[in-house]
Amino acid sequence: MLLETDGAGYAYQPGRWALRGITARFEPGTMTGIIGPNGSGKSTLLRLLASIRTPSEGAIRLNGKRLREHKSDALARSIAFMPQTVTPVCAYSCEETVALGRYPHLGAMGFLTQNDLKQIREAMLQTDTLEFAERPLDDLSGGERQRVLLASVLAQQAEFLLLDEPTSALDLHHQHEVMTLLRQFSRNGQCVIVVAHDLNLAAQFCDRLLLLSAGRLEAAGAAEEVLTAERLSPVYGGQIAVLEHPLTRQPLITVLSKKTYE
Amino acid sequence: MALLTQRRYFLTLLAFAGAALATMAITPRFGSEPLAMSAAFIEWLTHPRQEWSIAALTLDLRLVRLAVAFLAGGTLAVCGVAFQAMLRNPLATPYTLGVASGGALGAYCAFMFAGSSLMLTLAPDDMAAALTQYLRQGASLAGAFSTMAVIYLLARSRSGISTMGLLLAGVTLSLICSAAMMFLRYMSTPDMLMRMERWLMGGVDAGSWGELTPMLPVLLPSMALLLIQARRYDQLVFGEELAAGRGVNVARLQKITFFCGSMATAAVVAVVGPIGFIGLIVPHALRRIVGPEHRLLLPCAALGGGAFLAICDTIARITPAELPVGVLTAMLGGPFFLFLLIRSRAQWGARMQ
Ligand SMILES: Nc1ncnc2c1ncn2[C@@H]1O[C@H](COP(=O)(O)OP(=O)(O)OP(=O)(O)O)[C@@H](O)[C@H]1O
Ligand SMILES: [Mg+2]
Repeated sequence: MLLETDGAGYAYQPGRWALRGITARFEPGTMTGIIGPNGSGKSTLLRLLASIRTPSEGAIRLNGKRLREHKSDALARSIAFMPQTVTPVCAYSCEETVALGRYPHLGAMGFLTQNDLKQIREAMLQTDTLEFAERPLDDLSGGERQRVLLASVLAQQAEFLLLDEPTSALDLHHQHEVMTLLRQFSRNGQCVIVVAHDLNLAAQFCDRLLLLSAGRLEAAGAAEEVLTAERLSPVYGGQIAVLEHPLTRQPLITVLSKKTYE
Repeated sequence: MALLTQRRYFLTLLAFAGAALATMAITPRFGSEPLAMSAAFIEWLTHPRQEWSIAALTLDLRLVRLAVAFLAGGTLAVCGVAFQAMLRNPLATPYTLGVASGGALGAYCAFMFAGSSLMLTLAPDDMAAALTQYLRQGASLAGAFSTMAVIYLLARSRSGISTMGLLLAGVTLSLICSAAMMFLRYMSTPDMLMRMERWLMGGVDAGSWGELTPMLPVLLPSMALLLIQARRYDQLVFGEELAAGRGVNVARLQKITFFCGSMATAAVVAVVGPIGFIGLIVPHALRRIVGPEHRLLLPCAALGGGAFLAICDTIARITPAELPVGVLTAMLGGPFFLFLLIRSRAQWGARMQ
């Protein structure tokens, strides 16, 4: 299994490119972080990888075959996608929401087998959401809801996990729990691609970072190579300092406001 | 609601089918005149039409009514569920996207034409009645289909249909149709006006099976196509991107829903007029009973919606004034909706404590 982009680009309106010339490989057993400022094309790249949109130029291939040449249900069994925003729907309970993640695996009538129930339970256990099972999704807090949606994406049991800011609403503890879980998945042979705004979190957990800037791939590589003050400052704007974490020796990124360095 | 098991699925469907059958067996008994059901039924079944007694003729009329009510109610409820899922809006109804207004405008044109056409006034009575009926149904369908086409062209986008575009175009076209209808009303004679008003209230009092049959080729395939989308709707309500990521062809699903839902609604409106509230009440009530999952909700809506309208029509017909059923559903629908609102407000209150 190999997911690769080959000079992929996308324009929402003709001529206005949101993403251009992205070439990258995503292999099982790795965890990739996609970082970059707002509007730099992170979600767009994930949409292309998940086959939500078809690239306007270039190609995206799974196992050497273009995404749209795969059958859509087979593709959904290989690639799971968690969008940045999801409509909250009050009528469904959390358990029902997670069960919907089994959709690509079920038969025509959609009945759950023992194995499906096991996967659903497992996903809820991993995201610490079992206690909400019977409650309506709409009743939960933003972060709890995000964890339930993550559970439904995990229940899809795909080899490639494409997650758009899965920890944006989570507290410190659950952020780490979720990232640790994702890293563990990648160690067990899945391929995790995660969009993250928290650069420190991304640096800590990802094997590799892709830095996007205005739709271009600015840099790709290990956290230490990508996260340098010279690279980040022009991309994000402002004065960014990269320190070394005194305990872990990993890069530690902070923004210097005028006040800080006066 | 707990996860849907095979057992609950089939038991629920069985219960709804049973209730629907019971409704079909019981409602023809009621009417302005008493009826010896079993004798009339055997006669209706075994004898040719020419030999029927009054009882069998009465039964035949009531059965036509029942069939029309059942099909109309079931269709409107299913279309309501489908539109609510596609627009991700719990307040959507089969009429939200403007088909009913287009259909009404078409029917109004037919009333105008029939009222002023010399040919129809000179023709023998029964022929004129049949011609008027076909004219009205045809014009209503034509009106609905042209509105549908305009709305589709307006809401079409690069990646399928934009639901916001659909809503806006639907509401706008409804307004335009209402304006045109107002103009036609102003131009009509009092006699035409009365027929228009009466039609707008909606009623399932069809005179013969012939009124129903032209609609079936539109209605049945559309309904079947909507019903088999059930599991895709569960994905779609969580958002287009999530659904697409699970392998649902969102653009195709939206097109199927819009066209099948609109055509089925158009066919119903052409026969019974724009009966209101069924497409709103039934889906909401059923979600509370059977849960939100569409593979159960849609068939239950077909059965439950049909039975509901059949019962409403029976009640309407035994009232002293013989109300049109649309008046009754509107009178039931408003308070029911208020009840839903108050109950959910009570739940909010409980949640906040
Ligand atoms: N549906 C859309 N229609 C038109 N333009 C869009 C659409 N979605 C995104 N864009 C544009 O494409 C560009 C990239 O957007 P994208 O959502 O990929 O950014 P992002 O990196 O995910 O940003 P954020 O950090 O805010 O999530 C932006 O300029 C945005 O305005
Ligand atoms: Mg984004």
